[in-house]
Amino acid sequence: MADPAASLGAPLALVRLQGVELTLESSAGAVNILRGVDLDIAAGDTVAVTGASGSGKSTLMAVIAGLERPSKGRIEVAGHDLGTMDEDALALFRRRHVGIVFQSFHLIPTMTALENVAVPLELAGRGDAFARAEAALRAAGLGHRFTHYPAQLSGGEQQRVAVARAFANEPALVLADEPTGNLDSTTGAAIVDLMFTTQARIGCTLVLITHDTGVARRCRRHLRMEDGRLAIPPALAANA
Amino acid sequence: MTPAPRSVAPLSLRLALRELRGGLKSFRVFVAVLVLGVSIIAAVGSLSASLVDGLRANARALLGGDVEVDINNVPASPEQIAYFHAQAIEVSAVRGLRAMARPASATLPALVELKAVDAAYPLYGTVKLDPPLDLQEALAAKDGGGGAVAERELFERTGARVGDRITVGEASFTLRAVILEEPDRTAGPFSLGPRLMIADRDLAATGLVVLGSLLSYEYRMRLAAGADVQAWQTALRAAFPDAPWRLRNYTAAQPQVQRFVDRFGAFLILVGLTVLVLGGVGVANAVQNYIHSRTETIATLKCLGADGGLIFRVYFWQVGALAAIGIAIGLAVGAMAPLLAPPLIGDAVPVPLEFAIHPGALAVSALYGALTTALFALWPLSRAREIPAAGLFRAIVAPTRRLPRTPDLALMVGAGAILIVMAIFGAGNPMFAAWFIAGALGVLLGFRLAALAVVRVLRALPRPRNTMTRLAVAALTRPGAPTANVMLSLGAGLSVLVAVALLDANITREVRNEVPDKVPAFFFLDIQADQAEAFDALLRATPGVESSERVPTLRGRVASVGGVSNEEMRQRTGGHWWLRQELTLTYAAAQPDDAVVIGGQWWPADYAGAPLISLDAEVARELGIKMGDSVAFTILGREIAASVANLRRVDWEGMGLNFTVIFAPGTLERAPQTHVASAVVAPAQETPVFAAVSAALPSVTIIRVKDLIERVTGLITQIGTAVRGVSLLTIAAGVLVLAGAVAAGRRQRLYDSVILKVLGATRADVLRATLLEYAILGALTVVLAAAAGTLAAWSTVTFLMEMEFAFAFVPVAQAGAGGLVLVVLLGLAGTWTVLSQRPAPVLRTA
Repeated sequence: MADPAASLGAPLALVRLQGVELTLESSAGAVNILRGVDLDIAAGDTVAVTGASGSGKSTLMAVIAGLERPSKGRIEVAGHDLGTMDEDALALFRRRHVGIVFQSFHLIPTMTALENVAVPLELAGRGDAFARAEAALRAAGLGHRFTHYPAQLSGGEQQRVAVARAFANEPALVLADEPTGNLDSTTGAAIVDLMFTTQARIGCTLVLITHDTGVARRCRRHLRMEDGRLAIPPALAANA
Repeated sequence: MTPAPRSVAPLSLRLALRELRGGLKSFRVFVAVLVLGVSIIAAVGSLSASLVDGLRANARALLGGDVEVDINNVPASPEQIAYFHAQAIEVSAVRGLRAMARPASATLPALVELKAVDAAYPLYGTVKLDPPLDLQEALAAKDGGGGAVAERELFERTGARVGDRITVGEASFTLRAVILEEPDRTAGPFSLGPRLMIADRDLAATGLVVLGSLLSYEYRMRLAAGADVQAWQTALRAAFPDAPWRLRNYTAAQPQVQRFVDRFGAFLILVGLTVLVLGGVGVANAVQNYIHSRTETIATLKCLGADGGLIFRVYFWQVGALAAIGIAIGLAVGAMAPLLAPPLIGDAVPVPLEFAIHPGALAVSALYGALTTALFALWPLSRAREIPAAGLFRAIVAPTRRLPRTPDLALMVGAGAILIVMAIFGAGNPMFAAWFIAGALGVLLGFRLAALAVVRVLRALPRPRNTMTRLAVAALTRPGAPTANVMLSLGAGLSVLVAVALLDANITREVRNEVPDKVPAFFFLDIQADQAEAFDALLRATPGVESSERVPTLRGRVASVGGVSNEEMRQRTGGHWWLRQELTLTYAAAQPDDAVVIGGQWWPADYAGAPLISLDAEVARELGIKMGDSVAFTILGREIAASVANLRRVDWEGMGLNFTVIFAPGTLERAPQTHVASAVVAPAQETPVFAAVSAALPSVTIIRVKDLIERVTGLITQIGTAVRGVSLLTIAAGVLVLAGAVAAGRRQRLYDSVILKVLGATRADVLRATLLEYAILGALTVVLAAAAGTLAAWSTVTFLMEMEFAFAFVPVAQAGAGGLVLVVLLGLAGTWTVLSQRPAPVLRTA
């Protein structure tokens, strides 16, 4: 099914999915996780993806990030055809173009907050990695937590570090997988604020998976996954 | 604000250093394995190098001169002696023989290795005595007789003291000192008695030197400084081409010691390598567990844009750094070996060990450690490369089970190949090393397959009814359980112990119990022809002598076989022992009772024709000698050719008086000869018989068979202890692997036990399940090890030693029980702290 938003004529598609399917083999048999997804996302857009558990939201995000290879279909991000790239080329692609925020933070436990934020900058070979990481942490309100390890931070603080890390390299695309799922509503709201503020500042594209309709409403577009396909969300009419 | 860390190190190194902050706990076994293996190899290498240095530094003293001429039974001719004196700066002559010596205070004499030295002795080094006398002064004639010095063993065995008189043959000496150090004491496997040293001028008075006595004559030469010993030897050979002597020079002094050091060193290095390889399983487990624990970090790094190569390098640095630590500690421990070893090895080496760092030996050990690490760590490291970033999103990620990438695989194969090549060509005996490695690989592979099969069988068994048994079996067979690895590494070590115990039991039984019923109590040597009648009469008259046998003997060498010279034959046969040494020959009219003629006929009792011999069938087979062939012997300077009349099977284990060559009557009767005899004596009468013969015929050498057996079994026990100690090292490697597996499984065990407790299990229940799990693991390991060890011992005893194999239950049961207790205790040690854990905190963090 085509995304109705595509017809709105977004000038530049940063992300383009055509007929994407993903089937995984498991011991219990084949599981069809994505069943033909077509999607264009414009540069600088903010997109919410909602849907029931198991509907394929996280997998959709994984294929966009080049973490998962589709069984069928074509994925283009920032002008790169992901299907033609090997694992290492995909890693380089993420390094340059993609930032990711996870529900469970996934900070590296042996690194300080500052080092966690600096990693993508270091990977990109930036000489000013730590200066930029410091700035990003300060912007996230963690100027006093540089040398703390993840285990010494609260859940909210850890997610702020994760957000700072995702945006540090000013990627064209930031993917967030239920970033507030493990947080209380107040802390979650602060994190969402931080993400939108940063997105607005650097002008990147933000794709956000969430169960929270309040958060979804803050995005310009709202997509809904149902059983591996994109459906028109009832709320879209209101948004559009 | 804290200044941000800046570093110019490569990113992979920076990330590796950050990762290492997570603690090195999971690498304890990894480091311990490398410390153990590398320290053994470094210790052996350093010790060997120190020994070789010591041998080299003391080479002249060990030989007794720059060159030694060694002749048996006949002295050098005056012409030869004149040549020695003309061509050398100084000459020293030493004579050696076995004799009986009786201190005045002792009731019985003792067998001694008598050495008669001249005034020039020793040319190099010094004989150290207690009290600290000069040797020549100690041996000097004063107070109405010559002096003698002896090793402490003689004083201990006879109760003699310094100052006592001691009688040797017909002469009497004053024991003036204890020998603390004799520079040229040859370190043979064992000697029959302690050293007694007298002055050469006093030897004649003992009456022991008569034609036919078994004597060694050694002439040691000091050459001019800078003289070429090889050229000197060549000139000597040219001057006396037919002389039957053995020439040695200091550059190859103590060849047997050097050979022993080389062989034993090579063997121990292979043991060290085995420890490394067995422990390598622990290295692989440790790296695998570590990588497993870092899966989330690796996936996160990949999400952030790290490629597989970077991930590989990050963990390669860490593993490399830890390996460097383990290797460095191992090298430090090993390098200390020459300092620590002397109290352990005691008098086993003839030279003082000088402490020095031996960079070559250490470099080789380090290389062994690094290659082993590469061999075992590359596989799990390569898998780290493949950990999918998508793992952070969902759990249905199939574990990567494929082979490592080709370059990594090539590196592993390369590391393995270099290890094998180093082991084979680094060892003094490449053939032995190759067999050792092939055997070790076979055992490892066999164990691995057997262990995997056992796990499969366990999995396929019907589900046990008992809950605790079910839990125990499930824990042993769940995916990723280290069951097969533990069985492999601990079982292989244990099987060596079982094999050694069984070999020891079989050899000891063969020596101690399987000797014939009527084993002689004594052998008598050096009975002069004119004493033979008196000797026989004495034995007949002494109560307790049940039977005796006496035969005439002569010494001779093989000159040629079927017209082919001894030299040529030796080249053809790889230096067969029968051609190399001086043989003891005898003659007999009647066929000996225990001789079985398997080819040809025994000669008539009144035979009086051309010389004939009866030959040991085994020697004939090995040298291709057939009946009717002519064999020539050099006997007392005369060459005598004889035809082979018959071939005999000789029962060497029967402890009778056996000879490879028996001449027919009519050839040797008139040559100067001595007699040897044996006597079967009632055990209670042994001492009186010994006393009677030694008193009546003091020049006859008496060897008590009981002492001989004691010495042989003592030697076997020593070797057994040494090899058992070595097998304990391999077990240590297995224990480390087990300890690593227990430690790595602790988290899982904690979780399991908490869930069990939540479901209502008591601590006793959890303990029972754990006990059962390790008891099953231990029992399986022990059974497998017992089977493998028995198989190894059986094949060695049956095929290599050609003896009958007997299973010995007790030593196997001991090794098995030890192994079982070890496994259960280690398992319980890892579980103990888990038991007291309260569920709630664990569930919160799980």
